[in-house]
Amino acid sequence: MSVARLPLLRLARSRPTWVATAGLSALALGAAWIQQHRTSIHGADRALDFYATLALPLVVYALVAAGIGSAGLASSGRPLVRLGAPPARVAQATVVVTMLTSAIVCGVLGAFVAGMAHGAEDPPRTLDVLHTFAFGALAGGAYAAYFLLGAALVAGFWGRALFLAVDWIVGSGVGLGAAFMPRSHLRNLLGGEPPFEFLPWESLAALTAIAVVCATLAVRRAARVRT
Amino acid sequence: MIQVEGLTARTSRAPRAQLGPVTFALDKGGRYALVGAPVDGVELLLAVLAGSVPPRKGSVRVAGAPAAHGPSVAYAPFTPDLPGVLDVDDFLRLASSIRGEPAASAEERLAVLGVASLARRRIGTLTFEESRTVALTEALTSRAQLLLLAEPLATLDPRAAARVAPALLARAESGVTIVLTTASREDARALCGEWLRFDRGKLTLRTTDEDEWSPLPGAHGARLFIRSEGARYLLAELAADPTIQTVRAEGVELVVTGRDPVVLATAVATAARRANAELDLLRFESGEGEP
Repeated sequence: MSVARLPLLRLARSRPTWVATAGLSALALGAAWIQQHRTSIHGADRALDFYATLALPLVVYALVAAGIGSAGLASSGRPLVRLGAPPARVAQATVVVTMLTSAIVCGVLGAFVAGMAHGAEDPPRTLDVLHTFAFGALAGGAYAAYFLLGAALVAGFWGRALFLAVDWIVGSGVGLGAAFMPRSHLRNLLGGEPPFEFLPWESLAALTAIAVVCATLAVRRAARVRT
Repeated sequence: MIQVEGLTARTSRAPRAQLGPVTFALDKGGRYALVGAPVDGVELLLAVLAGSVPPRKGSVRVAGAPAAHGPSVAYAPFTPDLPGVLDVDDFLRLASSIRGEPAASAEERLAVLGVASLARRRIGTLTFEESRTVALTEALTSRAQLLLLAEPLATLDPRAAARVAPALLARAESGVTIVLTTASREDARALCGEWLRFDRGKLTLRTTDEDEWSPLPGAHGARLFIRSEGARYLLAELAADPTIQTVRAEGVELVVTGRDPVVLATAVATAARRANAELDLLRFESGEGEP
């Protein structure tokens, strides 16, 4: 548990990250507010589109950067590994803390967006808010694991940036490649076009699989790197 | 305690260095100085012993196992790698917890080097010298059985530096093995009972007898001619350094003299960093006798 303190404090004390998170959240909520005041019949769908394609990935990107202190995943744990903490445990703590924080932030933001932008022909508000909270939380965790794998493979800024770009380009499509990207599955869960004709429950399973596989690979890779 | 056989290693990180092949063994409870400049590979060797850098060839065994980070090894490299987001007392508590040691008061631990006032400071706000002092404090006051320390007296506040030797000797008396690097013969003599001299990655001398210890290569007196912006502050820093013999201004140039070129260069670089001054090295002279 003690090794979780470092990523926790990095997240809690990173002012630029919380400023970026607040800014992106304000944009997502602003979009939701606009939809509500236009009395759009599918207001939530449009506001959630902005939330899923822009706000959520960038919020998680900022949270991952804070959780690992702008370094690679392995080097972010170096101060603790040098004191004798097992590298795998340090990496595991960083991954779990960052994924949980991302899940909570993205879930709550999604719930607020869905609640604010609720339109006349959207599903019942409570159900919509609960669904969006769950899907947002799952996507937040999956995105965090996905970016952390990038940070484990390539140290510094470039690993995460490359994975963000790939998700943006490949995940925006509907082909086989999109089936491996969190973006396409979140879009499917929030009522958008499915990747590779996935059903919603299949996208739910795919997001869970992306989270678990990326987190496992990231920890294994970080534990092998000498610091 | 430590067996090194046919070890070769290299690092591309600054300072670039190549090591080996070297073979030696260090006994448990000894105080060993790896004497040489960073380019001679002493800091690289320390990193290999700590498990931070893998050997290219050969083997390194610490307490019978391949070298690796562990709670029983305290490694303080020259450039400390501390979590800047933690407060100093938080870091020391976390270190105790990871090492499986009972938590002691941070103030008490820091008082060993006379820096108890740093306890509540955020590590990210510490100066380089303060960070080094905190890293050294952690190592010296831990219960690790092997201390690996890079230049433990360099760039420290003089009050902290004066307390390092007694703290090291106290640890050694309790059976702890101490291996440190230094470019200074005086530091090696003050802190250690056995000296291993490295020259360009090779072990060239191992001795406990000071009479066997010929001067370091090129240690016949050295003179550096430098020019600097902000020379006034630099002059004060240079004058305060005991390893520098004389400092005088000649027009816009500063002439700095010392006995050992490596020690002199390190001292000038350290003084420049402390004075926040940029240096132009104009000329370097090395010759027989006193400069």
